[in-house]
Formats: sequence, C-alpha cells, structure tokens
Amino acid sequence: MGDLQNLMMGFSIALSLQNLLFAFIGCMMGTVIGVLPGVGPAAGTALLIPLTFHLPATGAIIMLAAIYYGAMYGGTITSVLMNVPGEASSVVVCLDGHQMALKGRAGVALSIAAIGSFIGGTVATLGLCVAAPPLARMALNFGPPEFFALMALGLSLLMGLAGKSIVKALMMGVVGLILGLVGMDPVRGMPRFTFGQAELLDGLEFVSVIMGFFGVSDILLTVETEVRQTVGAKVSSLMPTRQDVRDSAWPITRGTLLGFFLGLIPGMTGSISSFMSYAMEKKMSKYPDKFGTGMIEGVAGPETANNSHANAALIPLFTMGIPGSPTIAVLMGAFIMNGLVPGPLLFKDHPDLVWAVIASLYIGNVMLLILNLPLIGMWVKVLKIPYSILFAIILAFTLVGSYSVNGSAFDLKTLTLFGLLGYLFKKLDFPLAPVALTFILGPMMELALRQSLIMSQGHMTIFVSRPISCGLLILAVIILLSSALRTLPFGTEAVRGEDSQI
Amino acid sequence: MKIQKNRFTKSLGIGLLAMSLLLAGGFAVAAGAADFPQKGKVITLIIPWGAGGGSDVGARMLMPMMEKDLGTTIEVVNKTGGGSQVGITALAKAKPDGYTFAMTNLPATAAIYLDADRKAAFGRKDIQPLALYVFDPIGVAVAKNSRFKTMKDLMDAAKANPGKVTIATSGIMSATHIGFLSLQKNTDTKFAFVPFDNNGQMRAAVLGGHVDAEGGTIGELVPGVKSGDIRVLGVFDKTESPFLPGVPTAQSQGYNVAASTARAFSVPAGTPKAIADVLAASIKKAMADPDLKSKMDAQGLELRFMDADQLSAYWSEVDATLGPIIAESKKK
Repeated sequence: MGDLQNLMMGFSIALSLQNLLFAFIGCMMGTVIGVLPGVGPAAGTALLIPLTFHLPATGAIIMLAAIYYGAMYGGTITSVLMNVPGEASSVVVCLDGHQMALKGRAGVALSIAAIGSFIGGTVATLGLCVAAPPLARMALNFGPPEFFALMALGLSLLMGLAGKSIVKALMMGVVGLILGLVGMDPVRGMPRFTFGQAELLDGLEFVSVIMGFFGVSDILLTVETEVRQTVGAKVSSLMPTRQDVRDSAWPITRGTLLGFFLGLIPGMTGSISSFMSYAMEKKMSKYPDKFGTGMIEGVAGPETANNSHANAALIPLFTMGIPGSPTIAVLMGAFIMNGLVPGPLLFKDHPDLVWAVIASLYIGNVMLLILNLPLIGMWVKVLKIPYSILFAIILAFTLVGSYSVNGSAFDLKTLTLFGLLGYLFKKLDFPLAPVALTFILGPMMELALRQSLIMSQGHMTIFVSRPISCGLLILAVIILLSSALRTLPFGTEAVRGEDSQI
Repeated sequence: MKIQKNRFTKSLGIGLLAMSLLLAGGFAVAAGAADFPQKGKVITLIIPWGAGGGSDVGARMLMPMMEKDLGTTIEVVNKTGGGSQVGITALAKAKPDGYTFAMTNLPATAAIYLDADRKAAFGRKDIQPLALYVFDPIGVAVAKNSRFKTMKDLMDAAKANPGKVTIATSGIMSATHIGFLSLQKNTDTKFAFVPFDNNGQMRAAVLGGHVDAEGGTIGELVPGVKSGDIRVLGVFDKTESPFLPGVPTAQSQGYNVAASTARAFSVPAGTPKAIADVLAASIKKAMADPDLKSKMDAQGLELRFMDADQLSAYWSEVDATLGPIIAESKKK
C-alpha cells in the first residue's frame, strides 16, 4: 500500500507543468530519433544527454526516459513507410509492415503499432510497479550457461524466418556468424579478421551493417526498378477494421508478455524481443506462409514486444542498478551524472524521483498514443515526396546516423560495403534476415559459451547440469526437430512461404 | 583519407612549429601561449570511449568549468573503437597546437602500444601527458552471502584449487584484468578469469552466484556496496579508499599488488609546453569546483590532480609493470 501512495506522489510530481513539458519534449525528440534511420535509441539518447545538463534531476531523467521509449515507437514509422528500420528493434517490422504499406494499409499498420506499443508499454510499467523486486531476483538466476541456452533457443526459433530456401537461409546465417567473429577475441584478446585496422577491433559496427543491408541496398534496388511509387495513394484510413483488431489481439497479448520477460533479462535487447515475437507469431499462425506479405500479426506482435521490453528493461536498472541494454546503460549514465545511483537504495533515498519517473512512463505512453495517432497522417505524407528526393534525404540521414554512432569515417565505408553486399544478396535471392540475426546473437552466444566453459574448466556438462539451461536447450532441440521434421518429409510446401527478406 | 589528411596536417604543424622556433627562438612559442586559446577558436576533446560511459560522463562534467576558464568552447567528440585505440590514434595524429586534447586512461592506453598484436600506429613517444583527473583503484568484491569473508579466504581457495576460482572482469587487458594478472604473478596463484561485456552483466553474474568474485574499480564497486549487494574484500592501492572505510588494502593483507584506472588527459607530442601548461592549469582550476567534487564523491571517484611531470612518471611506472604482464600473457 505504501507503494500506491508513492505512485500517487509520483503522479503529483510528474503531472506538474514543467515535468509534463519535459516528457512531451522527450516523446517528440524520441520519435524523431526513431524515425531517422541510423540514429538508434542508444546513440540518440547519448547525443541528447548534454541537453539535460542544466535541468533539474527529475526533469532530466523524465526527458531522457521519454526519448528512449519514444525512439522505440518512432522506429516503426520508417520501417512501415519506407522499409528503412529507424532502429534495430524495428528491423523485423519491415517484413509485414512495409508490405501492408504497399497494399495501401500503412495507416492501419501504424495505428496497430501505436496501440500495441501503448498496451505493451503500459502493462510493462504496471509490472514495473508491482513485480519489480521478485522478478529482478529471478533474472539473477540467469548466468552465462542460461544465456547461451536462451540464445540457442532464440536461434532455433528464428530459423523460422528462413523464407523460400532453408539452405540459403542457413548459408546466410553462417555469413552472419562469420561477420560476428570480426574483432577482438573475447577471451584471448587476439584480434580476429581485423586486417590491421584498429577500427575493426571492436567488430563491425552493428548500425552501419544493418543500415547498409536494409537501408542502402533497398534504395539501390528501388532506384534500379525505376519509380515504384505505389504507396502514398491509398493510405486513407487509420482505423483498423474489426478483423484487424481481432487478428491483433493475441499477438499484442503475447508480445506484451514476451517483451516483458525478455526485458527483465540483462543483455536481451529490444530487437531480440521483436525478432522472437515475429518468429512466435509465424509459428502460431494458421497461415505461416502468408507472413511477409502484409500480415497484421507480424506488426502487432513485434512492435508490442519491443515497447513492453523497453519499459520492462527499466526493472533491473531501478531495482539492481543493472543496465540490460546499451541504451539503458546510457540512461544509467544520466542517473549517475545527476548523483543518483540506480539500485535498491534509489527507492529508499530518492522515492520522489523514482516514482515520478515511473508515473511519467504512464503519462508518456498516453502522450505517445495521442501524439502519434493523429501525427501518422503527417508521417504518411512523407511518402508523397518524390522518391528521387526522398532517397537522397534518407541516404543523407543514413550516412549522418552511421557516422554519429562512433564519430568514425570508417563506419561510412562499412555502410557502403554492406549496402553493396546487401544489394548483391537481394539480387541473388538470398534472405538477409538470418544474417542480421546471427550477426547480433553470434558474438553474445560466443561470449556466453566461453564464459560457461571457463566457469566449468572446459566441461560441457555445465549446460545440462543446470536446470534452467537444460530446460531451454531441450526446448531448442524440440523446436529444431519439429521444424526439420515438418520441412523435410513433406517437401517444399511447408518450407516455402513468402521470402522474408527485409 | 582522413588519416592521410591528419598526417599531412601533423607534419605541416611540426614544420610550422620548427620554423617559428628557428625564426624567433622560444619567444614565438611564449607569445603563442599568451593568446592561447584564441577567442572563438574551438578546442576539441577526444573521448575514445562511448558517450554515457563513466569516462565520458566524468570528462563532460569538467568541461563547463574549463570552458568558462579558457573563454572558449570545448567540443567533446566521442571517437570510439578498439578499446580506445581509434580515439587515441586520432589524438596522436592531431595537430600539436593545444586545440586538440584527449582522454588517455591508464593502463588502457599503454596496453594498446605494448601489445604488438594490436598493431598500434602510435607509441608512448607520440603522446604528451597533460594532467591526471581521476584516480580509481581496483578492488575485489564478492556477493554479500559469499563464503569468502576476507581476501585471505579467496586467495587460499585459489591456492588450493589453482585455476578454479572464477573472477569476473570487464574484458581482456582491462585495468581490472591487468590488476589481477599482476596479483596472480606476485602471489603465484592462478584464477579463472571470466570476461564480461558490461558491468551490468558482470554484477548480475556475481549476485546470481555464477562467478566467485568480481574485479572492478572502486567507482564501479561503490554502488553495489551502497546497495548492500556486494562486499569488497580488498583494495589494490597503497591506502584505504575514502569511499570504502574499513575495507583493508590488499597489501595490508599480505598480497603485493597495486592497480588502478587513471583517467588522464594528454595532447599530441610536440605541443609547446607553454600551451600545454595553460590547458593543465585550466584542468586543475576546473577540478577545484565544489559541485564537481560532491558529484564525484557520490560516485566513489577520487579527484586526483597530477601535473605533466608527475603523470609522466606514473605513466612510466605503468609501462614498466605492464610490459612483462602482457609478454607473459602472450606466451600461453
């Protein structure tokens, strides 16, 4: 009951005119950051930290938190409208979201995304209030072996993204793993595949690779096919039909839960939540073949999971001072800069601030919904800009965004190279989603694997002797076997589906 | 392309400097310092670490005071990559005119050029130390319910089971890892080092009982101590940390080790001393700000100024300790 009182107090602080303004500015800026390809939430939040230097601590944190979850929403807009993911967790939304836009249903896709985001975000915030302490304790049971098992499970699920050819998808998955090897060996400290380039010691810059694969290559393809401006004309209705709502209800529910639980686990990024949600929806759907052709479930689930994840990820930060993702780490930096140490003491020492921030999460989610539903019209208008101009603008944003992450001209070369590679792969009909996936998960999996083996002095038994990791691995094997059994004997039909290139 | 340009400007800068020295002797340089920094000319601070990290946030807090003191704008540029190698390479190639300086943390900076595998494009001689800003010693900590109550418990366990006591560190050749390698060397023990990507995952692994202990700087450990999650068993410094009263040093427990992260500022080699002195004096002045001190105290970070000569001497100590440790780690 004390918590309820605290929450009320938090609302009274967060609802002050000043703090409402900070939340509003944060939501707007966050959406813009999300919309701009290449400037992801981590880079964007970090870039805007200096703006908060002279603000009071509560206002500064409220604004930065709003930027963070605003960006999570904004990323969807460009994914749907232009097939250019604004940030990593929106990559998967391109699959069906953009297809919907091509069918003139961009408005519906964005509405459902906004509603799903709102529900996911609000429910996760509710969870943050109610269940923070016990859930954070549960997340502690995840050590390196459990992380490894979880990612193995993730990969097994994600092979569902395979598209037309399992072989091609597996080949691309291996390409992603190889790309993930570039950089310093995490245990021995030896440079791998860096060719003497200091810039490669930290590995290939994720943002540049993704922007190249999914941004630049697509622009090249579209330019080649001449004006394909099919979109824009029929984006009339924002209102989802009754059927849309019915189709989205379960994906939103599942996405909320999935994002919430993955958000609690340090190291799980929002993109994993959205990818997993997509894979799950595809698996659960009665029409898995139709995914990639504009299924609303493919938008509702991932987008909800992503936002639920964003808010749930604040739980380990607030209760234990553990930042679950790079963006949260940036947010934690802002806390520390204001002399606040995230952790259990935060609730004790600064209840006014914590509860005001939590209250502002509710308010911010409402704000984003109100802001974005009418503003979707504005974003849709972006499509009316001639492609020749629009593409130049997107390319410029891509370049600036890619540069701004590390302030490195080398990343521009990475962007260009992977833009060309992506173009080539698409021409040859190789799916790109598996590359992106293994490229993200590969290095994390490798680290978890090697950490586990160091812990066990090299014994593989560590993965089966621990109940959680054993359970997850069994689940992964079952999923792998069932997809293999379903695909192999029954020939091509089950495998086919539409190609889930992004 | 950028690198070539920088090389060009650097040689140009050195050439101009040499010319001015030839023409007017020391006078020209002294006059250069008198109008340094020129009004409206932006000074660039290269931070070779990511925005929002400890080094970045700490440095950014210092800049407003320096800007006020110097009367010009300081632009902070995060040039990340290769564990600060990219940013420091950029510093080494920058024009040595005082308008570019960078954070060069120790031992991270030394670990770059002392490790042949990293093929560094710069060496100690290319960097001119400016001033020390923050001194953050390494400590070893365990979860609050750990069976290890003292550092002796931990060391005895490591002696009894060589290579089985797991220590979480923030990656290969990080300050913490180097500190523990030195402890290992001086005490003839062997640990199993589990590298982590970020401190959050590391702390979670410690609290979840997945590793036996964690190494970290005092600044990284203090929040966990404040929240009661972890206990620090020993501090790898000559004196106890003011932020962890009652925690004995490793040396007082009989283990000879001293290791820390020193956040320092440097300029490219060849920067005129008079100009470097202006920057160093400004750093010193900015560090006296009482608000900064209270913010740093809250984070468990000790402000410790060293001038160029003191920092240079400390740097040589780091080089001397680190060289053999890196050589040994490569033998395996």
